[in-house]
Amino acid sequence: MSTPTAAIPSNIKRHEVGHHFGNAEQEFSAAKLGFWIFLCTELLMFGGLFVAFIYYRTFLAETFLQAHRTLSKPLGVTNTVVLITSSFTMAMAIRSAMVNKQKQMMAFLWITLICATAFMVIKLGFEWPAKFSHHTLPGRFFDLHHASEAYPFLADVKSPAIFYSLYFMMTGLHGIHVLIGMGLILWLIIRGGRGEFYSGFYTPLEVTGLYWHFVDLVWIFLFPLFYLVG
Amino acid sequence: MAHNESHAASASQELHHEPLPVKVYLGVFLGLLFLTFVTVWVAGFDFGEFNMIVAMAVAVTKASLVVLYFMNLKHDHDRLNGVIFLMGLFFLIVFIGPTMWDKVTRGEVDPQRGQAAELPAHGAAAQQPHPAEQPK
Repeated sequence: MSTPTAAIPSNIKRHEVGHHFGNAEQEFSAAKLGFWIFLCTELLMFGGLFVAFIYYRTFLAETFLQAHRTLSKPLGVTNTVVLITSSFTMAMAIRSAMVNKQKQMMAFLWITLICATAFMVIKLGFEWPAKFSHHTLPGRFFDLHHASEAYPFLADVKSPAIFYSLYFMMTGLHGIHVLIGMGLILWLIIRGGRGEFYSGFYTPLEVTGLYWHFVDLVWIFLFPLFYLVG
Repeated sequence: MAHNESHAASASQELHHEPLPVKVYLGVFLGLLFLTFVTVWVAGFDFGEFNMIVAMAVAVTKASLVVLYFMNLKHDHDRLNGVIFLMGLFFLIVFIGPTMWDKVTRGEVDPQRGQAAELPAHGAAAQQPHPAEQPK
């Protein structure tokens, strides 16, 4: 099912390799290597938060079990499906550029952006407002009096505020990454619209793709930890 | 491989990569959706201590699919990218491993603090803190 690479359309702006690179392949490899190193720093940044989650969970197993029941599983599942779909369309956008199907590439980029927006709307428009209205908030903003009206079982466990501190920090940092990703995808749409990406040059697509898949990767672990197991 | 011979740019100015077939991306996509369904379905059963292990096993499988195919480490011409990623994972394991090691064995080297690590209940009167923890 290998799609033959179409001829490069005439409206494409042909790429010229930066003067500090020997050839296109070297330029492409250098960009990717640099980005993988950046992703490692990202891995360790999120890693620190995951360590905090695992560490506190060993002290407060019952708290985490009860508090995780206050998160909406249907919304969590929806966001997982939305993010996986966006990862797929991102991969397909890169593939479309590689075979010179620019219209297809633009369509996939738009779908990716729409999915990213849907993710943030669900997160900021539905999930977090529910947390605010029930006062299930981080640290000293957690209000047991209000929270236990909606979730009486929170009154029986130790320090539920710690669970919400971790929840807001981790999904918040992830959300910031989604917002940055949306900006990058928009930037790709603008450049793609100018005809800058084709089989001979798609480095910005490739690198943004790596970033976007990493954001998906973080969510793949956040979702079961917070929404399923607690 | 389509290459415009008349174009001024030499071959070294442009990339010539063969993409993976569409069915690979589609297969990974469907696999990820299926595994999401599996992990949600399995969460409905209580395996006690194994709940976390089952959920993490599914998550690691999904993550592997993303890293190997969507992020293309499996077919990447630059093997160094994979080495860099594995180094990041290694540091993450060094981060998590000894931290949990400390958690598990703290009571053996410092029985008092090993117990005092229990956090006071929300709203309840705080227990007598460990002397070493008082200047906070």
